[in-house]
Amino acid sequence: MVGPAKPAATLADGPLTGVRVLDLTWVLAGPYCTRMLADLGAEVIKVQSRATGVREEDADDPYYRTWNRNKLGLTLNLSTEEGRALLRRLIARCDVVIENFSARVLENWGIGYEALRVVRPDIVLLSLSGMGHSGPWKDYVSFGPTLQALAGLTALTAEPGGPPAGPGYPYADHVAGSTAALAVVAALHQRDATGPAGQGQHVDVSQLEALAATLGPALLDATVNGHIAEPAGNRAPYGEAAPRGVYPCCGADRWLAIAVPDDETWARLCAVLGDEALGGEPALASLAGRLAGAAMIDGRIATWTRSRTPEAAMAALQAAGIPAGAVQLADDLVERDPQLRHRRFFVDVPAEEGGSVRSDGSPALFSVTSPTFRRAAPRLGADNERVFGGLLGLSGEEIARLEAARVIW
Amino acid sequence: MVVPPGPTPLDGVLVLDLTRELGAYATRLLAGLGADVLRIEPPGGDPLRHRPPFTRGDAGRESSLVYRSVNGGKRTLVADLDTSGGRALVLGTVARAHLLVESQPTHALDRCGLGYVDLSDRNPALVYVSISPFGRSGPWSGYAADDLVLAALGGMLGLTGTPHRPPLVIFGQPAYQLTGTHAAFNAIAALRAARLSGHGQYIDISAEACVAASLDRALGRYLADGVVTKRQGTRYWNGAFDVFRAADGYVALSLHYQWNELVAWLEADGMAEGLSAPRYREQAAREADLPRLLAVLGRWAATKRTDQLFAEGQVRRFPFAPVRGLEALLTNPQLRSRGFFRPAVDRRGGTMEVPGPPFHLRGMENASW
Repeated sequence: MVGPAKPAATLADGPLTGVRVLDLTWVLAGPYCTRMLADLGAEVIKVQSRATGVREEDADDPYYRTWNRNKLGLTLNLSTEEGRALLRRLIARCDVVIENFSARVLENWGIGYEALRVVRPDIVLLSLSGMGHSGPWKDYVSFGPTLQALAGLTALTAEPGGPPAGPGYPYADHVAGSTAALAVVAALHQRDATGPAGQGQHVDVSQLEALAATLGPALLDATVNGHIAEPAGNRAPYGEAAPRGVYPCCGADRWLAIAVPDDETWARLCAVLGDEALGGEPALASLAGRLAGAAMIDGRIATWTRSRTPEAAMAALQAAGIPAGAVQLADDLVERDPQLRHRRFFVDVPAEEGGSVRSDGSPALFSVTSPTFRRAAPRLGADNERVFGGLLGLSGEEIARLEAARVIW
Repeated sequence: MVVPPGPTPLDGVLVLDLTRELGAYATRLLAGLGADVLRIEPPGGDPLRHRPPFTRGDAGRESSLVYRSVNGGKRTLVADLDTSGGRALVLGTVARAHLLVESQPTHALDRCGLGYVDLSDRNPALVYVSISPFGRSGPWSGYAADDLVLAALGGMLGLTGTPHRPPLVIFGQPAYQLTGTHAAFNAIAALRAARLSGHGQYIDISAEACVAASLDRALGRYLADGVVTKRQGTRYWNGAFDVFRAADGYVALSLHYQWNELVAWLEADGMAEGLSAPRYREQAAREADLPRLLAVLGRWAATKRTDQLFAEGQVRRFPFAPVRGLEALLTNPQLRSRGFFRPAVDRRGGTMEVPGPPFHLRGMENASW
């Protein structure tokens, strides 16, 4: 049995330098979670095989490249007994295992939590399934859109009285992935806080619960008051601000979001709009009056925004302290957003084969242990030698034999 | 179930909470993990206490359910940071604190002597997490934003909604939620660094960037191929799912998943129309003929109830789901079975039911959620 990975003397790769993570996940909550860990310096070993490294998990797919930078790439055929034995040896050298198989897969392979504790007593095993590993729906198959529909997000992301629109992308995966990353660092803190004898645990994350937990106020309103939220479009769901909306601007499909949280901001908005009639209307000086007149106010704001680009309108409104922001698409974010550029949000990650891959970086800037962008996403099995040879001590002949036997495959 | 003894995950961690609305969820997560979160509120209390929805019949200034949702599990103290007494209160606690999390206006804390430079002198191991809409430096660092504005600038809004209608924000406070989770994650990671090195640090978190880092393929697609992803109504950006009208409501159906099994199901119902043609086994052929595929699936879905499509779909391993409102979450058998909703005591000593934490670690039973 092998002891825990030693904390790195210097945290050169980020605050999680020295944490080793075995990554058995694929699209998207799992890889998003392990990317967050890897960016902060954890050594994430992504396990694939020739059977699984296809489509979105193919090394040439931009999707794979986006979510798997900073990770080591390993191939292991887990449908073979020898492959699973090697996996157990690897896990003995890891702090964390993250998987998103359906509920019984790990048990069936003999690498469930109890079996992993035998090879690594303080292992943190995080299971990231759609529904969680218990309950009547534990075996249900789900993707982001499934969860968003079940959680009410598809119905509630809609214009008032309108048909469901729903998130146009798997927001649920980002919620679940970041939630899982939080669970991992908290479980590691719990292990390490009690010294070298600290305990690991099996964390059973349900993506549905992670999503439901983000609806706290609306769920409390339902459980306490029996009030069920209705779609509010871009308006404030509980009438806490008005006006609040997304307004058409000059240009093709260009839009600007504006929110007026209080009476003072309203007065400043009217001044920027140069709309003395609106600003002088006593009924609109209070939130209640603005809620009642929201449709009329929206029309007046749109008249002003239509003759301006979202960027120019945003600058004018922000100069007066009014919350306003252009609806930005990918090209806006990458090419034009001056704030993201200032933060060096987009990074060039060096690729093993030469050159670099441009990617979004970390939303958090650390003054000391900065996130690092060390290496672009690995080719399939790029690190087999490094991990099987360097970490597990297998000889070149043994690795060649396992490759021929389609174990390392 | 017997409550297992033992400490919470963040047992003994003291957090000074100087957040406003943005960031309050970060410290709420830390409190749920068992940290001792001391929230400093301005005289008159956190404005969030006056934010609807309120507990019905108790619309006083203390019954905001938004406030309860993001501030449960914290201790609160009132201090005016513009006075020496208020500052002394924070300074007196800093030496014992492990984390300080704040989302005040840019430079506000520096101006009253509570910036990172001041506090790290008193406690070099302090991790100081600054959460702001756009970050603490740069051309937009003084800009104002709420959740909608952050979702717009961060790129979330442009991916959701119907073409020719305004882009739509995802229900809830999606930018605040993502930011809070990222901030709590980074804070705990920095605690590890502080424990190993003896040194704290300053962390500058941009909510806009938290949103921009969470856009599925939008950035990767643009950076690799120059393709700008736009909203396209209920159909997923990649056409994997769409929403249809079933006999009794809306349902989300996958369009290509397990194609042969899907066609067999439609055939068994006598409703496959032309979709059983061999050429449709290629996804590219189906995508080229998408309006036809959508029309056939639509006619088929209209003959079935949503719960039927959900149940029979799961038997056949299809990721279908009924498009339900929030009321269905309250009675969701999966959430109920796992104890997601749990009893709590309300302000008047009665009982209420609260949604649970997003996950469960050992000892979290002994923390408040």
